[in-house]
Parts: sequence; C-alpha cells; structure tokens
Amino acid sequence: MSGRPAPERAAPAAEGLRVLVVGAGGIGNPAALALAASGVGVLRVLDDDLVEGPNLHRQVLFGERDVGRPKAVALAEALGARFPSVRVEPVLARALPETALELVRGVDVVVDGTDNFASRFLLADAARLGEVPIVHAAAVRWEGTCFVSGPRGRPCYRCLFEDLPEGPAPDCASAGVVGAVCGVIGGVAADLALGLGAGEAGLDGTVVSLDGRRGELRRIKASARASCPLCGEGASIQSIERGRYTAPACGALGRSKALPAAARGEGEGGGGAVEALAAGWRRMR
Amino acid sequence: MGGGERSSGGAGVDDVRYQRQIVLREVGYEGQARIAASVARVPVEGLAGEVAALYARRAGFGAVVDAPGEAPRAPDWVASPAAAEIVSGSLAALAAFAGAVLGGAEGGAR
Repeated sequence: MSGRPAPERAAPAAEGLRVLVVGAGGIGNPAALALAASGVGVLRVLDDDLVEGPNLHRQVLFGERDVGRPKAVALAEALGARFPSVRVEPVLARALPETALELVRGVDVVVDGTDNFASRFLLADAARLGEVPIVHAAAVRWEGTCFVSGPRGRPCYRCLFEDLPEGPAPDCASAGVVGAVCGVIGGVAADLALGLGAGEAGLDGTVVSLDGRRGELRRIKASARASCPLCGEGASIQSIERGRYTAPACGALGRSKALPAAARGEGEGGGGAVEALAAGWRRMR
Repeated sequence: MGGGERSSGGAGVDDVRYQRQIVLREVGYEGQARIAASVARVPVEGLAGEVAALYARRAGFGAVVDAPGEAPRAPDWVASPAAAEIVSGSLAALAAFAGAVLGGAEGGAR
C-alpha cells in the first residue's frame, strides 16, 4: 500500500467501537477481518450456519479443518487468536423478528452480510427503529454492492426497495460468485461501518458498486423517498411484525419461505439483493 | 457435505470446492481448469498481499507468485488503512482471476 495518496476521508477511530456483523460468510469474513485489524472494541458475529466445502473459495478465513463447524465460532477463533485486543463474540443464532431490535441496539453499527431479502428487510427495519446505523453489503457473480443507512435512517433500505420481492431471486448458490468480489465488498463495508461508528457525517445514502470484470468501484448517493414506509412522511412501519418478513428462500439447500428458515444460508449477501440494489440505484440516478 | 468429499467434474476439476465459480457462465469446467493452469501474480507482502494470495489460492490458481507493486490501489475514499489493504488485495486477486478467465479487454483491475 505504499504510495497510496492520502484518503479523502480521515481514518475513522475504531477504539471501543461495538460492531455487529450479521452473516459470517463471504462478506462477513473480510468485513470482520478489516474491523478486527482496525482495532474495534467488540466484534459480535451472528450466524447459525456451518462451514461447508463450497464456502472455502470465498470464505477465506476458514480452512478444511473448519468444515462442519459453526461459522461464527470458526471466524471468532481465527480473529481472536490474531487480534487479542479485540473482543470477538460468536453468536450462534440468526436475526429473528423477536430478537432483531435487541441485537442492533446492543452495538454502535451493524454490517448486514446476510443472503436473503427477508433478513435484509428485518435488519433494515430494526436498525431504523433502533436508530443504529447499518451497512448492507451483497455480492453475486462479478458484482457487489454496499448501501449505507445512517443513524437517522434516511435514506433507508426501503427507500430503494419498498418491500420483499415476489418470486425467487438469484443467489450465489445458483448464480455463483467470484470470491475476491466478496473481499472487495467486505472491505468497503467495514470501512463504511467504521466511518458510521465514528459518527462521520455525509455517509448516509452512500451506494458503492463493484464491476468485478473491470475491477471498477463506483460510489454514488441515493436519496430518501418521501413515500418510504419506513422513513418517509407518515411512515407505516413502526414496529417489527413477524408477518412482514416472508420471502423466497435462498440457495439450493431447500429453505422454507419464511423466517427463521429463510434467514439460513451462506451469508455472502444475497444475489437477488445486489441485483435489486443495483437496479434500485439506477432508477434513482 | 464434508470437507473430505471430493468429486471431479469436467477437466479433472474439483467441483465441490469450486462449484460457486464453475457455475459462472464465464468460468465453467474449462475456465476452472484454465485457472488451475495459471499463475496468479499478486503482491504477497502485508495484509493486502496476504488477502490477495488467499483469494488467489482459494480460487484454484496453480501457483501464486509475488509481484511487488502490482496491487491495484483502493479508492481514496476508503479511509481505514486496514480496509484499504483488504480492498487492494482483493482487487489484485480479482484482476488475476479476471485475467485468467476473461483474458484481454475485460480482465483486469483499474
């Protein structure tokens, strides 16, 4: 990294920061590595899935020895040994409507590396209602995207996507993903989360997209939507209600159509989400 | 699916480990075999190098060779030094992957 010009933003202070990374998969691995290497105080990693062989091409902090082990534990061990000053807390669970608010309220900033719309909307709603900033990150095929919703929650995830899509969405199990795309997006998501956690102004609504074929990262700003049901005028979503988070399942592993089962998966950020996010911000340009 | 289970698809490719790559239209079994026959030239020093080498090895490159100074820079709006290293290293591995799979015009980081 020698010769890199000074960043346009000041390096955010990470000391004492409490970060929740939801999903210890393709996005969660590099994001957690960046956060731990930056010296955050507490790194809480939420995932109830197990490491599988096909994960290893992109979930690079896991090895063959970890196959069959809980991802959250394997990730916490990998980081804890290397960064002893960081308190890494594995949580073998998934975000549920009953627990999401409590989960997000316990930290300063959230990184959403989940793989399905139901979990994304749940975390988006919980973050807005709990007034906790969140970075949504997703990767599929050669593309990746991050979206920032600040502590005031405007714009929010629902400004880009009003509600869960109907029908199946592509995911990395069926559509595939280049492992290093997850690395780029995970690193960017961690950087944005550090900025949010440090109270940096001006990050709200930031959308970062990666064209992995060309190695190009782009950054734009999304605007809040006045009619948004979560953060707009007369917002209709004032609480977390289980029935709101029903969606097609992700992956080839045969998930059911409602949370909690829909929240299972491989944690690289949901291909449908990244494609829809890209389409969403294109509409807003 | 256990880690010890292995099956071999076309061109002798490990289609369990690499299935999320093989399913990509541009990769397939032939592309995965091409990756295995290729050398990834990425920087291997520091956190960026560690990340670049990790992603290159996990993608299935036949070898990873140190190429100091060839890491694409993270954009200057990435403020955290650690995050910038991870972005830089990942971009280097991505460029190597794109080069092996796509070749010419589209294969490379900028």
